[in-house]
Amino acid sequence: MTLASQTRLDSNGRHHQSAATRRDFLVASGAGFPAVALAAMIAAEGNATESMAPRPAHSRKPARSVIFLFMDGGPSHLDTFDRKPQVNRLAGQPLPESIERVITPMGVSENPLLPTRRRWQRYGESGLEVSDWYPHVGRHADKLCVIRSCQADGLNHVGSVCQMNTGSILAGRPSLGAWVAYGLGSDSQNLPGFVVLLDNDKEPPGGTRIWGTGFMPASYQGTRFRGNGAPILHLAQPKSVNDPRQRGKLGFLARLNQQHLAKRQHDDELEARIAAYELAYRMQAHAPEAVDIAQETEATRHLYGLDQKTTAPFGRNCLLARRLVERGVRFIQLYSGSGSKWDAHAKIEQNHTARCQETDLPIAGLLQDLQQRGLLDETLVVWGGEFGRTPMSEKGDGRDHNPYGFTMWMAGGGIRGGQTIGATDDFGMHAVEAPAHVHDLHATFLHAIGLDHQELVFRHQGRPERATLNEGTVIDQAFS
Amino acid sequence: MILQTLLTRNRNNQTGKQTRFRILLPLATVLLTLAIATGHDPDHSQTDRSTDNSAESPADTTATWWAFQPLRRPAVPTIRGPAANDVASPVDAFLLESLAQSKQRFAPIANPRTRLRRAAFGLIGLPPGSLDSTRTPSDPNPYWWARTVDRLLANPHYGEAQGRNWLDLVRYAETDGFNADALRPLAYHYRDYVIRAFNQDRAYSRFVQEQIAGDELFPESTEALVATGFNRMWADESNASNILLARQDALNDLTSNVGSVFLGISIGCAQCHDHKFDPLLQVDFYRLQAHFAGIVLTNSAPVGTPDELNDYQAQLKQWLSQTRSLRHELQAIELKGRDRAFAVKRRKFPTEVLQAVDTLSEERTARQHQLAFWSERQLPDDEKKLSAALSTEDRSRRAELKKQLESRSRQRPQPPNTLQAMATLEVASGPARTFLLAGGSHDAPLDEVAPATPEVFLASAITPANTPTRRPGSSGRRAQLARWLTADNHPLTSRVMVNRIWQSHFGHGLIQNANDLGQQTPPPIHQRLLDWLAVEFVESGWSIKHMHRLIMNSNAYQQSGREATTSDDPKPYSFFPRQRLSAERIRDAILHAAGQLDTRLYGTPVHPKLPPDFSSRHTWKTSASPADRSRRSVYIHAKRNLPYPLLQVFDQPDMHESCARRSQTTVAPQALVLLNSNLVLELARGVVKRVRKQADTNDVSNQVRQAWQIVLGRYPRNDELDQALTFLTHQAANSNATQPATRNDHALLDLCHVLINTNEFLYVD
Repeated sequence: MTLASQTRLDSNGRHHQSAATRRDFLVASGAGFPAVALAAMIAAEGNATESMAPRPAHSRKPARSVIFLFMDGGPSHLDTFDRKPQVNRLAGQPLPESIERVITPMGVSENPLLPTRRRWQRYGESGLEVSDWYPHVGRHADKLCVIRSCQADGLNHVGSVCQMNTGSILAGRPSLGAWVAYGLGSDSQNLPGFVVLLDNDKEPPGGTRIWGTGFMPASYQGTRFRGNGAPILHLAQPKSVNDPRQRGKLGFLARLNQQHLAKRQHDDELEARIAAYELAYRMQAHAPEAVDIAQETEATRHLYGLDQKTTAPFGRNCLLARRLVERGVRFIQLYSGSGSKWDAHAKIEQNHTARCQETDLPIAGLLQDLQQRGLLDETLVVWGGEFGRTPMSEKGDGRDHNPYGFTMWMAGGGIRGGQTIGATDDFGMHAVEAPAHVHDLHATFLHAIGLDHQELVFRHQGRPERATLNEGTVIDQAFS
Repeated sequence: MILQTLLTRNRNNQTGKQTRFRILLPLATVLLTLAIATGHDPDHSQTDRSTDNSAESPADTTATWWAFQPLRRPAVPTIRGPAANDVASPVDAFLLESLAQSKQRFAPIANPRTRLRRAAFGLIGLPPGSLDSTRTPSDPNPYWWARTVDRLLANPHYGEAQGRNWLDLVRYAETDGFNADALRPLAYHYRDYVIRAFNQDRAYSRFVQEQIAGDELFPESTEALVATGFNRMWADESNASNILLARQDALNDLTSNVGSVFLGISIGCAQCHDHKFDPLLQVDFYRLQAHFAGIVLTNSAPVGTPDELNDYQAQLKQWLSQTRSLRHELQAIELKGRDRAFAVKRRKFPTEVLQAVDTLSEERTARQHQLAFWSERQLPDDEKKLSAALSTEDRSRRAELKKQLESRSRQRPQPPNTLQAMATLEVASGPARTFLLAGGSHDAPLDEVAPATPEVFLASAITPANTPTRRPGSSGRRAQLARWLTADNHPLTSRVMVNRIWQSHFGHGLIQNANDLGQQTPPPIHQRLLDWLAVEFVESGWSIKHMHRLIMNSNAYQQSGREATTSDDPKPYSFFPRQRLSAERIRDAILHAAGQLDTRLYGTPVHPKLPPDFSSRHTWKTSASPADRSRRSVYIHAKRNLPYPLLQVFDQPDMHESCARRSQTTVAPQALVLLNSNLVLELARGVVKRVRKQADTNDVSNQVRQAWQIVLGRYPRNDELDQALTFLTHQAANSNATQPATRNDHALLDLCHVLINTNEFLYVD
């Protein structure tokens, strides 16, 4: 069985329950099957104790970690990675009749086109065009696989951020990071498998549930690492309790629990809870070390822009992401402009200039650092937001939401850089060539990390649930 | 092979664009392809039934599925030999018969203390220490157990614990969810209704009827109207861009939930296509939905007997017709102003939505009411701007009309009573039309469908009671559905519920998946027991308390845990399975140990302290009164975007989907919060206070004994006492404090804190 044949099957557009039923059958009949499906079945419906032990991936030589750079609020593809000279040529006029009209949240479909003020430059051997908002990232053009034909279903932030995280615009499903933690476990004995970092204290729309697990057990949820003090909530004991007392308490607790267990043999769950206290104690020791960027050299700190006020917040998170990758964390999500700060309905110049300045150098630093350390091949880096923006102007100097065609890019993790996939129309309004729906993107991200989105199944209420809602096709071109 | 094309589309496609057409190959092609791709023989796959979209009506293929078979009371097996002594109830006979196959029996009856703790946490969600009389006899008389169960069933905290299970099912929340997560200030009345219904042992059939169609069936009952809040538990986007989609999403969510909650089948799967596994057609989904097509969402509902309501409606109709020209002229003028003043905001909505909003509320159709529900709140209602947008002439005419209407409004008839609650009603013009939607897309209607129950049930010959729809002007569709669901011979309703009651005690149901009795869940091993219980349930008048009594008086329930079995491979029900306390039970039990649990019943939601800096986006103002902050967890504000952290970490479910069985995880963050949060440490201080009070002296051994009794409900053994005394000495030495008294305080605090963290505290044997 090859992945390719599965993928082709998928292009028939069928739902994939058949495969799952079949696999369940194979497992039940002992015909042998990838361990992950078995793990999936055992963990289904969330009973008993979760196992975060690493599990074999579906495909060979996959990436080990994902770093998802989430530009919260919707970055403009028209001003960054998808150049559209026609928009400038017809500036001030409405979209030509030939372009299909759409619903937008602010009803801008007949508004005049807003020209971009960007200068564009071709970078690298690939000659990828990147605007002057992302000059540092541009230097890494040959690492980037730019998908210019992304599509999503939501119009508003909360639904769209939810979909880019969970596949559905409606809340209640597990996030992609949770699927990865569920499918692969964690390589780290001392850290969570899925970590979320925000660049300011505002949360993205939907709050914590967008890195939640929906119907899956809570053990797979993202853990938000906090900016100040202890990175994880309740990681450190209360100030009033000193270390010797804390150790004394843990020792006495372990003793009481062991005695309790001795009278109740055969109880994995009681043992697991004893182990959970041990892990908590190890986390208390290790997590602060993982986020201790004082250990980094001056040169590294400079590389990520930690020495500049503008770039320091996101740069710190990028640097943390690399440290977490080194420590085996599977999925790290970094929000830029957390709290919809990329949402430039007006004054896009001002807004995006600031956001891009905050992220350009840190992202470039991250790509370079990962490469220098030989981590880029085993780390998939994804850049994008919940949607793009319209070519039509809003309030004269802003752009409305555009889920009909927008850009994301991937790098590392077995992705072939220096290429673009798909295209929007001449105005960047609709994806017209090789449309890549969120489900396709998710299938592709999962593929990069060695998970087949068709095989990664969680049973919920008798239904085999998949990260891609039984849709999605891996974008093969990204890897070849 | 002929290609048959079926179109499906991505559901929830908010952009409304037909982006994702899919071509479905006929089954054989797919299987063949799969076989080639995988190198396996399709004959040996189980996919045949499940992938067939175009086969004959599924009702034919699955008439044999156990859950759709008529209910009959199976004979209670006769148990012979020594195991006969284990039979305390018919429940035991069924289980022992099956255990006999592996030559096993029940474990010995657990000691009274263990059973009492099991029963108290199980029924009222609190430790036995919360009961008035906590003395457990060492050698109880034969009636002690039955009386204990009865006493717990009569305890008013029973409804709080049992009601919480129901709230999980209906995904109860007091906010909208989505970005704004707006407050639903009246939602908590529904929570209180549920608790009260459990406390009163409301017949389950009536409980179901009230929630689906309380307005139609029991128009004079305020409780029944509150119950219709069930129809409104979906998450709701305050600024939905696509109103038609928002409406359809809500109806879809409601339909799926009716399937999960009452029928125990995942009918939501049939939203976009025929069900892949169960005999449910896509059209079944929309036919079921058609029952709800008439709902008008109101927060203020007239209450009265059918006669009173009839009179009221007749009078109102008359008044409306007398004031018609006045109201219409006024509306026409205001519309002109709105068009001018709010043109930009209005442009966002399609014509149909604007028409709905612009129709006077009294004259809206059901669909218009629904569309207005989602759009009206997004349109400005700025009197100044509206007035400024009118011509001078219009402005003065408007003032005049308003004055006239005001003088007439004194004669406007009033309903017998009005209830402020999140309720549903209907309008006399009838329900909105319902269509089968291609691929589940709101903008791809195919044929119109009439309300009907899924075809597969035709074979079950369900005979609903003949009770009338009693609210004048209501279509009676929901009443019809409710009567059908609660027919004594409905094959699913009673089975689903007794299974859940069983699950609430044993941690797992007789059916593995409590929200899915369909073919994705294996048939229950103890199907005859399930059926026996289901028949008993119906014949008891759908009494939930009766079922608890029946189950808890069995020996199966009263037996010891696994450690008391002699077998190497003990079968289920040959011992009682140990279970971790649920999230709410953990918090409530800690509060109780700290002597701080506030035991008031019912009322407005409370806001206990959040961890500092927990979330900047979603937060709440802590309740001012300490008593409020210490109320039982079921009263904590149910905010969709801010599940209470302490509860969430212990697996309180996300309230966007129905949850029939919670996951039970064991993760490090649970240890962190119990060990390191100031919240729990503060409560441990409360325990210390109680310990000091009850120990009455400074005798350390006595303090240890009291700590054990307060937290664990028993006195320590001698070896435990010795260990605890050693621990206290060490902790006092470890303390940074300079005063010996403070060092001892720290040590005692640490002891109480550790006890709260023990497995003995967190698990029920």
